[in-house]
Amino acid sequence: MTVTKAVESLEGVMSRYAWRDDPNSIRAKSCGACYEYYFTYAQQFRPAVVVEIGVQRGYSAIAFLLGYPEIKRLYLFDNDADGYPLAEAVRQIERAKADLGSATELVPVLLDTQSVGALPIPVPVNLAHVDGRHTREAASHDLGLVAPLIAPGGRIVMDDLWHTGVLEAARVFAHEYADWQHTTIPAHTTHQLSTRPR
Amino acid sequence: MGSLRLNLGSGNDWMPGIVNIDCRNLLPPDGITFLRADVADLSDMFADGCAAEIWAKDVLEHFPQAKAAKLLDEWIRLLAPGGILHLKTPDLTALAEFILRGTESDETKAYRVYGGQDYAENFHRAGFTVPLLRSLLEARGMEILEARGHEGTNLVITARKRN
Repeated sequence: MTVTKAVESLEGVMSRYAWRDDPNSIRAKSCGACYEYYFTYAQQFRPAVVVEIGVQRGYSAIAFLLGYPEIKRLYLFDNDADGYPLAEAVRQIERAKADLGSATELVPVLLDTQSVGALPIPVPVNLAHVDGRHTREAASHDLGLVAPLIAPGGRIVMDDLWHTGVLEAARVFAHEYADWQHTTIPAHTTHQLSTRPR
Repeated sequence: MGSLRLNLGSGNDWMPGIVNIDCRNLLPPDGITFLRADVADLSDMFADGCAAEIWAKDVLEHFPQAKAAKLLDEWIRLLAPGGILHLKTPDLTALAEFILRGTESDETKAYRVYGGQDYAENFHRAGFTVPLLRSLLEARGMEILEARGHEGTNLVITARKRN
């Protein structure tokens, strides 16, 4: 699938949801770039287990699913603090799954990740998307939670480096995990892709 | 200890602000977080000691008696040290008295003993008394905080996983 066609299919699916008019949605030109990357990461990396901290409306999760509907299990962590219920995001992601004919197992977990020292996940993770609280301390904490779970060759996507705190957390993480490969993607809100060596 | 809270075998008895889990493909109301999974084995899904609090209301009796110990093992595995387990299940002693002395119809008595039987999992396959469930929990390192029989025809036990 070409990038153009991928983006078209992404928008096609997204446009059918209740939040299609949301100015922050994937259809909004100013916000599409990061989802296109997420779509591509999933398509290229073909992750079996994906973890997302900070689900909000579920756009990123859907972008991952669109890129690779064969994701085996998708953990969705949120604490509902943004006023948008995790349950509602899961409902939208379920609709995307149905559109895609995907059998991905969604595991919604209502949890404030800042309150725990480890995530309740027993298996290695192939791709983690960290998009929780955007302070330096909180972002560092979330990175510290997912990093030990990442399988060799697995990745962490750290979103929203345009927030100073997140940017600092990402830099500290890159320093502490110097044997990983870290790439900053300056698209839209800027994210960091960190890859654990095999 | 983490703040993860689970409502195992939720059915439609939804609890807000908590992960409701059931084997059926249910449609929860707005704002309710729901996960479809087998509560008898969550080992592939959740790590040891991840939960601060677990509810299992009207669940134990739907599994064979011989599986009760394994079920409790699994739920206690999920609890962090100090975590709390809330159990509610039919009380055999109270049920016996209800059958012998209760003024309800025989249909109601049969329903209380055998379950609703309106879907495959809704059959009662096991029965407990307070002493039986207490001993099962204590044998697994749980401290009993509260144990009451005769809650209607149910028993209620709250227990804490020892540190």
